Amino acid sequence: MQRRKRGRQLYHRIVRWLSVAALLVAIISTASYGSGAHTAVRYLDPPMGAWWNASEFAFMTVSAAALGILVAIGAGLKLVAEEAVRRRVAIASIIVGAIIVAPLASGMAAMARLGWMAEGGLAPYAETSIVDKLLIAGVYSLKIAGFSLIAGLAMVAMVAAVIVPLTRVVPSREALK
Amino acid sequence: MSGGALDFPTMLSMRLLVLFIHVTAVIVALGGSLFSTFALTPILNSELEPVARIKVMRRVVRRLGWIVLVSLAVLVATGMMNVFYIGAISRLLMVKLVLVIIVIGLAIYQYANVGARIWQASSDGPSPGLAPLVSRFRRVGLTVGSLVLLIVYLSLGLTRVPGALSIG
Repeated sequence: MQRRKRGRQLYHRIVRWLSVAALLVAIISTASYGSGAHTAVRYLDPPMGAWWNASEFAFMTVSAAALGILVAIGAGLKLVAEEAVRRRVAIASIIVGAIIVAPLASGMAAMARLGWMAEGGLAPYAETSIVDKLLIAGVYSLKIAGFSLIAGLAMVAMVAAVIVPLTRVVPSREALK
Repeated sequence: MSGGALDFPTMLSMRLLVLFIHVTAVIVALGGSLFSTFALTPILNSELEPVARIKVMRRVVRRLGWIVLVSLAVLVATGMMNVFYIGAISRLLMVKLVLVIIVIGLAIYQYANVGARIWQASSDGPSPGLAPLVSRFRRVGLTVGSLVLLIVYLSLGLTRVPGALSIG
């Protein structure tokens, strides 16, 4: 009983920790990308600053996509009934999510560049003020996370479709007589 | 393109293939649920004894759950590809996406929660706790079906407005 409780807490904790980690990385990389903070890092450590400048966009998109997927996994798990099924769905969803997060981030980043009502986009980004840049980068991250949430829910549905029928029902004593 | 007829290369395009799979997934998901609710369940109730009925029903719930959940996943994947072809995110699309989130959530609840509990409760044959679960399963299924129909109607608004789907 105690072990089962620990197991239940473990996958819930993993999803929660990963969600918090993804949220933190998304906030830091989005703020850095929007404010051009890589110049400060360059001042302290030029090679590190150059690496961060080249990587911050990837960090921003992948962490936003991961956040969307993890929120979807957390929400999806609340809708699954049996503890054994929930645990399996959680583990399988985390594995599948880890596999698809990079390609999904790329696709969702492209989708998030589509403008509202086919207007705008990120074209004038370089000419805007730092506040506008932060706002644009923030909305961009939110759009990636939102689209990834939908994709993540579809992934949980797919995983549940596979896992639920594989779960066996323990027969009662009456059935065994 | 002239007179609404599509030329051969357009008919073989990726865009139409994606749209075809998207529409097929809707037909499979919605058709399966409607058939189960309005054709299969009433016939099972009138033609079979409770024990046999439960045996058939629990198998149907599992099989249909797989079909509907996979169809919804395919719907989302092809739907996102369609957004690229449309090339814009409109307010109508946002409403549709929110409804999609609700539909997937309800479908997971229907099959991975209520469906799984029906499967458990019916493992020994008919039981008193089964009737409310079956009733809830049906209600959630009808809600999902209605929302999918609403999404289909919104999709017509997305693809049938001038310039939204200018093929050819």
